[in-house]
Amino acid sequence: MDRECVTVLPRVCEVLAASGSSLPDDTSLEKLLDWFTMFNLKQPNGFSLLEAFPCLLDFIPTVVNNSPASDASILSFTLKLTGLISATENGFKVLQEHSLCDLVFDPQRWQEAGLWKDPCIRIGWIQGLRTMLQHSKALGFFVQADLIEPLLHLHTDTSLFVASAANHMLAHILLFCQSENSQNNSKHLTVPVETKQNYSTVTVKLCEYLKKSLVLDGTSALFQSHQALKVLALLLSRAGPDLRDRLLLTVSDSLEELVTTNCSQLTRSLMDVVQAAHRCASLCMLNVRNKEMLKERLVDIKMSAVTRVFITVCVWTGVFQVLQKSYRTLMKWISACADLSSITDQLRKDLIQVVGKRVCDVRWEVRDSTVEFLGHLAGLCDTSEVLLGDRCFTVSLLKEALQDPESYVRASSISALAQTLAPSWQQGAVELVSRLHEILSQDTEGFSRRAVLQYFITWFSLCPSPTSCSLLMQSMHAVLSQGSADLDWEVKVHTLELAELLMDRPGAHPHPYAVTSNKSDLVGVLSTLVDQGVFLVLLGGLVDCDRPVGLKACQLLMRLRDSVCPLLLGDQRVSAPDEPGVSCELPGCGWAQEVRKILGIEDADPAQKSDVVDPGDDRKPEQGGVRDEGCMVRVSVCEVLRSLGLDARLSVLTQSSDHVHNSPMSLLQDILTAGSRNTQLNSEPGLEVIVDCY
Amino acid sequence: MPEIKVTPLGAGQDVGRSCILVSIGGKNIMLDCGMHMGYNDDRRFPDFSYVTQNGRLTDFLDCVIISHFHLDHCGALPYMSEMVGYDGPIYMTHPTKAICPILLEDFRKITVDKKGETNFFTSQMIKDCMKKVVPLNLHQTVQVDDELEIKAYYAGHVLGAAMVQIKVGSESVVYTGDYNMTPDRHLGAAWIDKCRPDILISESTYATTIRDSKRCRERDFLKKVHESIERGGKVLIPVFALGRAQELCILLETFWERMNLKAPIYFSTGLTEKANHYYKLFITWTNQKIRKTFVQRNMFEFKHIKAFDRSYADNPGPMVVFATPGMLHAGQSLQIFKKWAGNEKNMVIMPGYCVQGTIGHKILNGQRKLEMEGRATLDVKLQVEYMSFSAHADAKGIMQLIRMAEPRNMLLVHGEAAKMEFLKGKIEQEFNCYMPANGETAMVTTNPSVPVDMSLNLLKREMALGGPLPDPKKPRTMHGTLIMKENSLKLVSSEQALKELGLNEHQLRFTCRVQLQDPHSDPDTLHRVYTHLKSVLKGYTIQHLPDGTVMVESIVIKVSSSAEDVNAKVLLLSWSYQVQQSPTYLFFRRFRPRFGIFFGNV
Repeated sequence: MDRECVTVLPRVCEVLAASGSSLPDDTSLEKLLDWFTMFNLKQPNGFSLLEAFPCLLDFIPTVVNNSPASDASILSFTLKLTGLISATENGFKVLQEHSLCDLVFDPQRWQEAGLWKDPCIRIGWIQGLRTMLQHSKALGFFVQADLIEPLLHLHTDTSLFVASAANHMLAHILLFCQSENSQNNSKHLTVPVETKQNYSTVTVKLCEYLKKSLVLDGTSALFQSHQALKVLALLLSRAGPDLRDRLLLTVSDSLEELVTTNCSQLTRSLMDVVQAAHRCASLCMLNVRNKEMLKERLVDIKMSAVTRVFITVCVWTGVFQVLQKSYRTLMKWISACADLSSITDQLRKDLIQVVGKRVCDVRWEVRDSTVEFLGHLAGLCDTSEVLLGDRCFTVSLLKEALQDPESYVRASSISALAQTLAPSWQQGAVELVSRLHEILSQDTEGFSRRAVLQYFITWFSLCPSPTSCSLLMQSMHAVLSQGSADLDWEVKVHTLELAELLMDRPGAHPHPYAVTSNKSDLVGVLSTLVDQGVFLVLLGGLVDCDRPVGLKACQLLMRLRDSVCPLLLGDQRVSAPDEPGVSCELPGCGWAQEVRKILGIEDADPAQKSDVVDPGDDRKPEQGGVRDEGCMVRVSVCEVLRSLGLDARLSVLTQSSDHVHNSPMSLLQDILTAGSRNTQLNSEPGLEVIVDCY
Repeated sequence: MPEIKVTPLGAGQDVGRSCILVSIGGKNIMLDCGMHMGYNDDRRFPDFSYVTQNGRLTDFLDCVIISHFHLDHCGALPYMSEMVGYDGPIYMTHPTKAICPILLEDFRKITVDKKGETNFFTSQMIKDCMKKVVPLNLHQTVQVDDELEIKAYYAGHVLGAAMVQIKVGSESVVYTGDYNMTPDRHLGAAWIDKCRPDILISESTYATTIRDSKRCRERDFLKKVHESIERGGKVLIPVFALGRAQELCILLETFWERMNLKAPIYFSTGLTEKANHYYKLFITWTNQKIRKTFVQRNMFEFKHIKAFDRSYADNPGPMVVFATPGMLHAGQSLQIFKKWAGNEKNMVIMPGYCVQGTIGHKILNGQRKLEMEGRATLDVKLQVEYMSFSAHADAKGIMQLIRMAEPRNMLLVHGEAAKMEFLKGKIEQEFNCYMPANGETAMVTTNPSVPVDMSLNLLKREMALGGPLPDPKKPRTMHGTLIMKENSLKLVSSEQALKELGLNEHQLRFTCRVQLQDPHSDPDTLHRVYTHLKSVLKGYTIQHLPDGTVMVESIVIKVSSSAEDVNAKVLLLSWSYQVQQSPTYLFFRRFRPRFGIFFGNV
């Protein structure tokens, strides 16, 4: 792919250099830079962008010399690109042989061209320099070109973005000097005197600047002090001991002075600096034991007091946010507190009253949080009973909430009901299950339907064996078929998760390494999965337009293929005619048409079709091997699994849905066509696509 | 002078990721919290670290206001409230609050489709975020706190879209969000009263366009669909779940009815029912015609538009399908597109903008060969049409709104820089107009008039002093104490202030030391001062007291000599605050050079 990009890039550069107007999509240039950055990261040491893309060497001076006719966004891109190329010593050397860094990073030039007032040029300048400053030669350039002054000037720029970029740049320079120094020292390298001088010049200048900036004199200096404090906080949290000590020594007087001015606008930034300084100085002194003791004491606070406060808040406050926090706090305390004996009857009564009241609140937010609280509480079995008494109370409230007009509340009540499930659960089950079916088939909102599927997943996970959960097993078929036909992708994914549980049920299929020779058992298991609708659910999911559904289905089908079919079919690719097989009926409409297409059932020649048809079933005379029962087709499960091309599909589905169209090549093509469209628009106005909204 | 500051973090000279910070009267408000669909990483969200470092957004912001449900205006909200951390109030209209989660869920699905995407919010986060939302009614003033109030106005654009007025004391700002000044098939036109804000922050999407009449565009659209259907083709219209889709549905439904057409129209993923539900629920937010006819016939219950099943895409014969998502970047719309792209009889109509990295973007730019998964190539033979149905005010509409609201200053956001520049030029003939880039701050100085009540006693006293009654045209100085109490200002006499505030009066005395060269003893020097003062201050009470002090009215003078030099005398003076404003003080100042006494700077 990169090779193709290399051939296209020169044309892209031409388009960019020639375009007087910006590209219609403002993200294209940033994405192009992302690609170059990634390229740089992936390359072995020293291999520069210029070696891979020589056209960039012409591109830079063309754009820069064409200013101010060039578009500001393309100029800004060029500044950043120059920085990126010169981030390697090789790249820097080549650029400087053509004096390109001097040309591009000369602020005077941009000022004279009247472009400096555009913040995107200033941002480009700072970011370009910052990317470049990765080696001592770049620092030498920075010092000799005397770029510190313009950079310090931008530190208090009117643009928030420029000022912040300058801030990070200042910190970067100091940290860079520090790391270069320490590396050289540790490797005992002989560093040229000039380089040493550069480090020292920069460090002294910046430290002095910070010291000076901290002093408040007039309102205009407030922003400068604020900025200086930000750099300090940033530096102190990342600097090594030498730089940190030096910084603290330089600025401590100014800092103290600043503290005494009592300027409230700076308090926060000052606190950040103090914290950063304190953290690095006393990190190792933190007394772990004290922390532990504190934690214990917190837990010791009486449960009853917390509950009382909670109830008071819930009863009296109408403010939702407070209520939400109270629920969360109470849940935290309950989970942390082992001794619930302090719960008095009165407290219990109060809590029941509050929950009963809030679950009928006029605001859905309050009802939902209350229902969520009940669900969380039900998850803590014993605690729930201690606090709210009999489970019936909770369940009846939650069942009421199933009728709530707000789908969020309906969904929360279903999830909460799932928390009240117990393996032995029977009472009122039929009625509840039929209500859940109703929600799954009729509710207009996805949230509640998703919750129904999760309810069945929880129920199934709790069920020790199919025989002990007859109601659940009876419901399975309907849940699977409704869930897989749902319009919401998450309902479909949950349906597949439920199907997975059925597949994983003990005895559903053998462990790949288990010694099983009993084919009739396997046939039985596979037949059950087909009868329950699991196989059709997986097939439908495979051709779904939503990628997560397709992916999940594909993974499950592969598992089925790999664990069951080899044992049924042996190692043969074509099953022997006398071998007992499992077949299923493939519908003739809807998603199944898609599957038929993959299998080549409709238009493939009869010889191919016979591969897919269950050879063991000869109840009906067939045409060309396909038993067409109306619109139904009977197919062999294992043959289908083998013919779907699952491995190829999986490799596509595991990639991002936009991997083709968000690739560098696609980006380059988009820029090219945008360029030619620009030309077209100049001759035919009115075709312009206006960036509006979505 | 007080200032209002406006800093866009997004929508400053661009579109996407609308997020505008306003500081007014000491309050900080965030207007919209949108996402940019063109990025797959954190760049899609506004960078909140610019608002305040360490994520202390709740401390800094007084509230967040969302103008409407489009993702470029609300898409970053769950990220901000649930992931960055913001616990303060969020305001939006009732329909926006109801519809927002649907679109956020839709987008979440797309990001799940894109593997490798991290840092994205969950369904639970969307819900928790929505719980923090305080719904707004139109034209109802909502008090955010004691000083800050907001009021929503109808904006057209999409169901529930609102413009909002933000007011602190007498300063105010209006933010339009996206708006439409001409009614369409289901929504009305934006409206605002003559509220004369200090700044009107307006979108400027169509800043340089005078849009052709809606009728023409609609006719064009219907003609294209009809022609395609007539020749047996299939028409795909990729849309986002709610918004312009409903407008187009009404358009086609009416046309089908009128022309008695039989080709089926489908709407994908069950959204028709959902949309129907919301439009019914918020019928008061639609236009007059829909409201009037609602009793006889609900415009959103379509006779010709049916729910789509994915298998229908292979059916022979003509059909029209509305499918999500709108940029052909994933899901059903993309699946149908792939099926139909190879047939030149078919057509795709893109009713809005598509970001880079989507198939919509490519085909709008004229690409005809598309690379597909597995290095397959798709030949795009079907007809590609772009027809923007987004409901934004054009240049004329923006000027119309300006005349309605009569702002003191204009500020343009949500548009392309070059186009904004053009409109700015037009507006500046009448108003100051700003168009800050992202990260830049526009500062507007305001001149708020602060009403102050004055006590009757003080007025009477002023009159007794012989001055004229207060006249706004002739400002003059009045002395009194300003009391701020319960959000009002009152000017009263100092006695009354003491009484009202229950305070005691304290005496403030000033002192100063003056050095003199005088060889006499201390009592002699004092006596000489006394005699001199007696001779020059005729008509003043001057006493030489036995405790070694001289008093001129209430000014006390003492003499002491220095230990090192007996000839160096120090005059110690002390006087009260009242003296400083009395004739005696003026006298002293006048004779300062002769006495060598320096009264200044005290």
